[in-house]
Amino acid sequence: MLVLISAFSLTASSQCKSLVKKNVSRLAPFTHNGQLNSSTLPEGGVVDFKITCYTGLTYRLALASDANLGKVTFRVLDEDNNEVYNSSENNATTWDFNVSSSQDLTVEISVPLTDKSIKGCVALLVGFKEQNKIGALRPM
Amino acid sequence: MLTRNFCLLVLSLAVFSSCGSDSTKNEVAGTDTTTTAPAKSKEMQKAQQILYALPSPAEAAALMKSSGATFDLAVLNPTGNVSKYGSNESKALNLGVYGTDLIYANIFEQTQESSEYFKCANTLATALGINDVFGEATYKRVKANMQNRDSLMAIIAEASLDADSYFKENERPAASALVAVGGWIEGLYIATTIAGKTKSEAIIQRVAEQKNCLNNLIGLVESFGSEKELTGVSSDLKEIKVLFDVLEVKKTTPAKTTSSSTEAPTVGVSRHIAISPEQLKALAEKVGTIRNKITQ
Repeated sequence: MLVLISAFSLTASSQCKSLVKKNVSRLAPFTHNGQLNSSTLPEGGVVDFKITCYTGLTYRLALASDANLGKVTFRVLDEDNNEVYNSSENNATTWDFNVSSSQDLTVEISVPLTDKSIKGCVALLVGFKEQNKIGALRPM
Repeated sequence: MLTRNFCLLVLSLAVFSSCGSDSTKNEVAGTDTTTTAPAKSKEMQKAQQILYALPSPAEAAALMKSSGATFDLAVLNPTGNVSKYGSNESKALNLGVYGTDLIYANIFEQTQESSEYFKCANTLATALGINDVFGEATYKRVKANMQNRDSLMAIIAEASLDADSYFKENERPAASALVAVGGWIEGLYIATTIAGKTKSEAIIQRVAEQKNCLNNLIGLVESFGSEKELTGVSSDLKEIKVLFDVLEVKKTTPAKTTSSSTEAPTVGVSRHIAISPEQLKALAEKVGTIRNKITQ
């Protein structure tokens, strides 16, 4: 049992890393923060990533997921739990933003419900860039 | 990794099978879980993992530069210390320290120092068994891109991802957390030292803002439960937390969100973290003591 779990875990982790590496280019021209933020989820599964964001930087979030999971979505909540972004409103898989002051945000990733029993990897890629290098991407 | 993932599996199975109709948040922190329990009903699907994603040292270094800091080699861990680290715990912590020093040197476009700190990171990574992450092929890429800060940053990010992944795939997730802690402590040490020297308000504010990150870092460390290697750093981080907890947080007027589709919106609560000169001094002393314990 333990051997099987270990073997599965190793494979799942490697698959998630491959998924992240395949999607790093979507962060350009932002710099990837070099972290493996991923989870293996079933149908209907949800994962929250707590991320710290600094004022003075512009961020890009990129969602990556295995194709068998269907249309995976993400939404972003601020420290007061207010929703500040929901990808399902525009079918986007990346989002660029600034924060009004340095703070923790919660990125909630949801796999849609299906009748089939499935599981797959979801990953959140975080890129950043100094605001003075962005030009048009300035906070108001 | 086996133990942790097994625990995660057991925990998630327990949560998935015991959920009622209320939404449940299952706090199983970490940056790469492989929880595999399939959902069987709508109630079960409400069980939710919470994972802590830490900002990279590169973000803090970039902010230091944009806040007006200048490069100060004397603040970094001397490269000659690399041979001092005997235990795996010490090697992992100092891989994080040298990783931050490498990024700091690179952000400030110090090519010679970047090369030297890359070698230190390579030495410790090799000693920890990660031969091909900071190996010859990566070193060649580093040398070829030494004058291109952004390309070098991308190579370092890729190496960090590979190192992080290596530890998790080889049943050493605590080592990954130690690298993160070492890197964060070094970044805070650099920031508090420069803040103390320059008295720059912008840099002092950057120090205060690390209050946010610390909670996530503690969450990450605590997610490994009773991992022996993490006991010491967990206690160190809590000592720093005591000093951050007394800082006053004031909510300010929220920034307006842009309506232009071509600009990135500004979101989130707006607040200011106040830190007095005395509080900064106490924090700098505590961080200096812990950092020196790691690097000596």
